[in-house]
Amino acid sequence: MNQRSDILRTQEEVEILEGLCDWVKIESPSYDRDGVNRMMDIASDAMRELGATITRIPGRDGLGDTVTARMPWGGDGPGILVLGHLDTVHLTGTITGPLPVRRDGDRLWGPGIYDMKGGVYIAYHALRRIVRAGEQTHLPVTFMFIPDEELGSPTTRKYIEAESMKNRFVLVPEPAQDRGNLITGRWAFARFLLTTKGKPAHAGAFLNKGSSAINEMANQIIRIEEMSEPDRNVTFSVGVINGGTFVNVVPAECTAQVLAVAPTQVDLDDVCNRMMALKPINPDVPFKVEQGAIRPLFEPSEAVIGLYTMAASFAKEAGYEPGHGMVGGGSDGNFSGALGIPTLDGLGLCGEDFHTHNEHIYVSSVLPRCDVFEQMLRTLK
Amino acid sequence: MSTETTVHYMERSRDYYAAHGYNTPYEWAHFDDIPFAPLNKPLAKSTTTIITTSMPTAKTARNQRELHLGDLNNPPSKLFTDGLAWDRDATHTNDLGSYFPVEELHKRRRTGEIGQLAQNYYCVPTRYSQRLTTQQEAPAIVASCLNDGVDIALLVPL
Amino acid sequence: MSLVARALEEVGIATVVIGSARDIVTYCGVPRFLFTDFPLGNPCGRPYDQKSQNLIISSALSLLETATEPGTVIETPLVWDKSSVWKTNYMRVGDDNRAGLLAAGDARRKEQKRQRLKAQTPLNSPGST
Repeated sequence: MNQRSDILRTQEEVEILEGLCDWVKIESPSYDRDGVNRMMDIASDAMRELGATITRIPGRDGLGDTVTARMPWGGDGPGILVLGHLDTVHLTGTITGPLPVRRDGDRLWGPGIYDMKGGVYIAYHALRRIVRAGEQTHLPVTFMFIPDEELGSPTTRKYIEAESMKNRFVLVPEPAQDRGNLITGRWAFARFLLTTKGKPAHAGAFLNKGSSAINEMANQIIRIEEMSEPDRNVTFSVGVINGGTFVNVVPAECTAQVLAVAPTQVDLDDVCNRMMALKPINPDVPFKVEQGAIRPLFEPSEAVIGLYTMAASFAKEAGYEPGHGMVGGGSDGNFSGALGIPTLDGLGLCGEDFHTHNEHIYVSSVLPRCDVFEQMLRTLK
Repeated sequence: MSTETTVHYMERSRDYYAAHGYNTPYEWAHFDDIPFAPLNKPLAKSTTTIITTSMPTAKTARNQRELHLGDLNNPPSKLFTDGLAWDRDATHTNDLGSYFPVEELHKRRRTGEIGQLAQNYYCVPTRYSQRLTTQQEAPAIVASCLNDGVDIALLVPL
Repeated sequence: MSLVARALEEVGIATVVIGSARDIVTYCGVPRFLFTDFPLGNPCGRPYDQKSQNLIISSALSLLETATEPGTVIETPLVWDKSSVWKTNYMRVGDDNRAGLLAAGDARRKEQKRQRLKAQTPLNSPGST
């Protein structure tokens, strides 16, 4: 490339990083409706400037709104749906605490920068390039911004499925896998809420008069996690637990959330059956299991592999050769994929350690991943 | 909602009227619950009406006191917007289509995109008293729309 | 207007509010809102501009067909003008016009009082003859 185009590329990278950092600085953990809605505001503003018609669906159950942005191109028929969530797992205060936005060489850290504000931003920028060039895509393009993906998309699954069914292809810029690999399938995820109810008593003086909700839950958790078969990729893990009031009171209630992963439909059915059949260990402590949000199995079809092949050819032009595969993390691509709509996932940035305080992206992946996304938008028919 | 780019009319009008010496701010209506009636017929079979804040004459527009009905199938070529606080520096209301979309609806009725238009359209007065709107105009419009077999209402406040 | 929309929706008539005062309408809470970021006065499109008027009504009908959640808002992508000066100017209060606005308010209150007194005093009050 000549010097001028190098300079332009560098300027473009700076523009993208500045915009992305603005997005990352708006903290948006799934449970913070105001934070998520501020992200929806900024995303709506960005898409509106490109000429999109914005639909905003009010959030339910205390969660954020859902925004759909549709470009006025390509008519009314099925087109390309870009699915991206704007909520993150990082609690408010993370950015002034354990994970500030900072750059060191090729790494750029920030809460949600890899999962998945970075991916959504380069998808948006890919569209912005097309608009700035005064051009259009063959197919209609719709972006859908989701507020609750990190919770399993409990309030938005039906919107995602409805919108997916109106489209021909679904592109999901979730984090790229190792070596920039794309995602052509995802295992199923099931969530369960466990509740135990104990009988309170003074924990020091009258311990034997009470029945501890926490003790029962602890035993249940051990039993549940022991159901994991990691060599078959069936796993159960408890990620959230709450219980008790005062340390000198035998706890009356305890709740916990279980995440179960299943690589096949048969495994998913088995996981659900086993969880719902669980009985109390201590007969004096009622134990309840409720099924929560499910991410259905997304298996690669010929059409999905076709999308991967197209993306891989564009990646080669951009200087890298990504592989593909089915992964054990869930995304909104599970929903469209499970419905049989050709879905390609993992189109976001390269980085590491999402869901941790070391979450970061590789800046060198920004332009090449954006190039591939832009070519996908331009080429799909 | 984009908070940076749209005009905040509640704040703007509060400050404007406070600058005039009206220091008791208007309390805008607010509800936590929102009713929802799904469209239970295809558009092509639905009966549609328009509800406007414009009025049939300059005088009724200045006074903004009463509900007026008009014939949606023989609509006027002009309505009046005198008493309303639309933006007179930025635009005008000389084109009926810019605030009363009767022609757009007739066009779509002719193509079959929507069903027939209702017998009546409604000119609702804009006034300070929410109580009067809720207790007088709203029930009257509801009763008339039910009688007319209205399925869809487009409300077009200026 | 939003109050009327709610009353109609409660009896099963599907409504769309088509307007340009986003904060007022969303604060009240209406079932469906088609928003265009235009100056107040032209909720249905730019005067004499068939394209924008067509787009707005198409979007309103689309909202009727597709919305499933109360409070759904569709915003059209229409832009009034590049400068958006109209947004700053509408009902503007500044140091340059504050005194004038207060004077106008005083004059209006005086006139309203005069009208009220005129309405109260009958022509043939006791002791007037």
